[in-house]
Amino acid sequence: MTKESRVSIYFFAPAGIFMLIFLFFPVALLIRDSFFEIDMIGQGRGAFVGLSHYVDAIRSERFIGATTNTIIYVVVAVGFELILGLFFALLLNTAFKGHGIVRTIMLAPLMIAPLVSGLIWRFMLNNQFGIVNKLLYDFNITSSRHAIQWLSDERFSLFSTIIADIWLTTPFMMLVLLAGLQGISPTLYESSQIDGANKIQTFLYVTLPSLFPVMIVAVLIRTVDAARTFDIVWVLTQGGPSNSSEVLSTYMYKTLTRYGQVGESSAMAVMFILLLLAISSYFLFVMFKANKK
Amino acid sequence: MLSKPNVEVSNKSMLGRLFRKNNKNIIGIFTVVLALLFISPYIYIVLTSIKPSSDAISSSPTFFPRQLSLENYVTMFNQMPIIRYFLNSFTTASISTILAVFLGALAAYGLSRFSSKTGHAFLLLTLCVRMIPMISIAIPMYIIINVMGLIDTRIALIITYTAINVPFSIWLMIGFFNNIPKEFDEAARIDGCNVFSAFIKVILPVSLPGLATAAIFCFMLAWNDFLFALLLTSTNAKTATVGISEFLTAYNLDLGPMTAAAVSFSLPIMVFSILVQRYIVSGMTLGAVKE
Amino acid sequence: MKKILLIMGSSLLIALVSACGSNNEDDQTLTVLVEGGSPAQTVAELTKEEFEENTGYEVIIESVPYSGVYDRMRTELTSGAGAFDVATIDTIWLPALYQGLEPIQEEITEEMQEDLFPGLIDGASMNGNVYGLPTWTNAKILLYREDLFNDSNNQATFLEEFGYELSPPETWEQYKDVAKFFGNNDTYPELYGTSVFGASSGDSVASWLDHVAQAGAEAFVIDEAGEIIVNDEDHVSALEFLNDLVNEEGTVPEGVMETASAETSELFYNGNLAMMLAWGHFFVPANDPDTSDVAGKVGAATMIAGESGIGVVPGPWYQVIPSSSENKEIAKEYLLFLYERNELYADALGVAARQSVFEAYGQQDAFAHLNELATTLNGEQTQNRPSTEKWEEIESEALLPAVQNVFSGLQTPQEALDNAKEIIELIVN
Repeated sequence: MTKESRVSIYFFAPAGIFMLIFLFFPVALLIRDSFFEIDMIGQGRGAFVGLSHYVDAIRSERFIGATTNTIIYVVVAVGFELILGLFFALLLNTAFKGHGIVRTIMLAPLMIAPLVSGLIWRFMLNNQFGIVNKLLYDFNITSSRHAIQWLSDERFSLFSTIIADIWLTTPFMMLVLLAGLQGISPTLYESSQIDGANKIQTFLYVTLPSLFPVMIVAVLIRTVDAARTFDIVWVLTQGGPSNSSEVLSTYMYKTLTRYGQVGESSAMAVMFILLLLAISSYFLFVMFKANKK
Repeated sequence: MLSKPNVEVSNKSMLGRLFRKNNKNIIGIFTVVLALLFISPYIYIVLTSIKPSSDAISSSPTFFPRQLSLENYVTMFNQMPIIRYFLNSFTTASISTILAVFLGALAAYGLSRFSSKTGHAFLLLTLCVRMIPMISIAIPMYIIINVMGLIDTRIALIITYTAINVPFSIWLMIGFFNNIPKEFDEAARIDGCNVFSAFIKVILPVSLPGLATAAIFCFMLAWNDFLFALLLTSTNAKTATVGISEFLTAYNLDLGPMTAAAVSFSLPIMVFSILVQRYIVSGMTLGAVKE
Repeated sequence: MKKILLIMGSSLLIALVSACGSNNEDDQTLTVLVEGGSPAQTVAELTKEEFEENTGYEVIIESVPYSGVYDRMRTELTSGAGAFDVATIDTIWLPALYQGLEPIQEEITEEMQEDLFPGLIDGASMNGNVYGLPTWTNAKILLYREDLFNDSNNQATFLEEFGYELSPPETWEQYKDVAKFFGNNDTYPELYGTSVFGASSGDSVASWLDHVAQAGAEAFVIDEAGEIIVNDEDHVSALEFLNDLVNEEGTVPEGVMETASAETSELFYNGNLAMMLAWGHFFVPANDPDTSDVAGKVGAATMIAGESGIGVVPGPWYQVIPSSSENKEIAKEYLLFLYERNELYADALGVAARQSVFEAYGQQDAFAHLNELATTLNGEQTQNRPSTEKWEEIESEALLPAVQNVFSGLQTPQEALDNAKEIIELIVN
């Protein structure tokens, strides 16, 4: 071993040991648990059951339903966040007087705990005491004080949780895309102007392609975070009514702590991690290709 | 006579400029209105927290308070030892941040200076850690913490948050250290520093912006955490997020004091984030986008 | 260089190890787990000093939110840590937790058994052992607005419309009539008759089961023989009864699927409900001007009766001792110590477990609900949930979705419960 690499190990060791004990060890336990029948208190680890927890999970309607909801949640939430974030970023990029203030204002939800965001929206969307329905009625948008049952109608519940997510994280998209926009070299715009491109053409052929790598990173990070969302859904609907807003993380929480099925929930968690890994490798691959170009 | 067209031209361009300037102002006003609309939910919560408790939860809610009152804040203090919860949140978040950033910087330095290839593995590792649903490592974590006899202690939370944050901070710091020329280290060593003191005395000071970014995000994760605090603490080490959630029980909806606590919890961090906003973007994207 | 790293590494280790030590060394403590803000917490704090004076043991109170009590107990018993010596838990958690609890039947004398409400000891018995000592029991009773019921105009209109005198309802039919009457009353545009629970919590299931008992059920969901009876006539008709209320325009507040105890009582305190079927102890805050706009106008009556009489699912809480506790003897002493002070729960919440406390407190106006509560608890149809360790799963995977599907009009009660039966079969087998 060279002296260099030995020094490198010394520097790395404290963090490495820490991660080994408190990060990789729990994950290893998780993976091991997914292959065992672990039931009930005090009796500890039971028989090795191989992949049967995985098979059971894939076969169960509840797991499929929760997965579908998670996908809807991620696609709709991240999609809206991207569009809204891009919209705000473009507005802010025109550098009008006071854009710094707007940027600061928009930063506010970014720092709010997901739990608190969930509580805020639960309070505002509540059917009896919420202000959203009251305002919709006051502005004559709906015909009754209780026209839309945001949290208790199974058609809307998932979308209500998505609203809370969009509100909480659109500022993230905005800030990242704004940074991306400001990083685009002015010479690119100048040359497109010389070529006689109009504003829409400039946007489509200069702005968007230059922004693409940044967008991929932002979408990737948001996808992973949105897929893991727990606090917001738990506080707003607990996955109900009739499981209409159940996402994977709330379903795993229930199987683990409520029903005490450590094995099943571990198997679901492992599949969940693998799925996210697959998705993000795809994203990274796309980004890598784009960078190469 | 000859001057006339000139005047027209200049008039036209002036109008044009005026129009363009107005255009910009219109966009500006439009954006400000949109932004205010966007954060109105938060404003509503702030306003609700200063309503009298009977107005805070009412079947005909109003946006603006009809009457100002600090009742909700008083109830909040009376109902639970909220100050202790805030202190717990603060100590666990800040100590775990210091630990994670220090351990992370140390490791990152080792990786960036002495072995070039492993660095890239940490992007993947960081991403992997971000993909683990927190709930699924909560039970193994509980068992480990319990074996150590640390249930309901702040140390338990500090350990957990540090563990989650270390890979992130390693990744972020590698990016910063790679941008610091190796000549810095060499110069320091010529001055008689050993590897470690060169790191402390020379490298850390120049990488302060990176450390700040890492610190902000480690702090945010710990400060906003709900799940681990819920599982690993009960009384002594209970943090503010768990405390806030307890205003809504099976028997009571204490929405008034809940809003008061939510505002007290989020306002300081918001002010803080405004002060440090320039460090935020690069941290949000794991260093992939620099401002 | 090496030295520095060695020092850093070992100091980290020392920090961790020394932290380990600090938690375990003191033997003179008793750690109790309670729901934060609950009467259990209040009473534990009130009696802390006295217990320390008596025994020399310091009581350490750990409080967590409602669902946290179960989640913490579950993790605690799964890991066998010995972090708690006593916990106060909801009756519905007992079947899932009892394997990790200490049997305490030897501590319960005949005298105690007679003073406790009937069914309370049964509710904590599994396989011939008793695992919990009741701290208080509770049930839903009828709270109503005396001012509305005593109003002579209302009385006259009601008599005209329905052909009998307006009074606090005693049967399903009367309950429906009165709810309809106040819910669609031009004099009170902001008023609903009553509320129906449909929120995503166990509360909604418990409330439906109250009516299942009234309909004449001998058992809930699974009978003694292990047969799944969730789609029998009694279960269906109770759900139909609630669904009729939901579908009768204006009778109950919209947003049934986000309404449970807390929301209902808040509406009642705001003056938006003429009646509510609510936990007995809500009588106290309902008549407290600090929490309620209708204080002083609230009366209490027994739970309504179905074809087979008055019936509810009682909601008792128990003190239990985890087997992992290292202080079992002193923990048992603590249980008996609090049994002797059962009236403190009446002070804190307006409920108790001992009939003698009910009798003593029921005399006072502020606790007028206790007599009604006692009658309800002694109702002929009052019974416990089946004790199965799978209850939590059955409740949230089968029963709650069934109730919610009916209220949202997706399925008829029969369809929903047929479906629930299939899900329960999968869970049980």
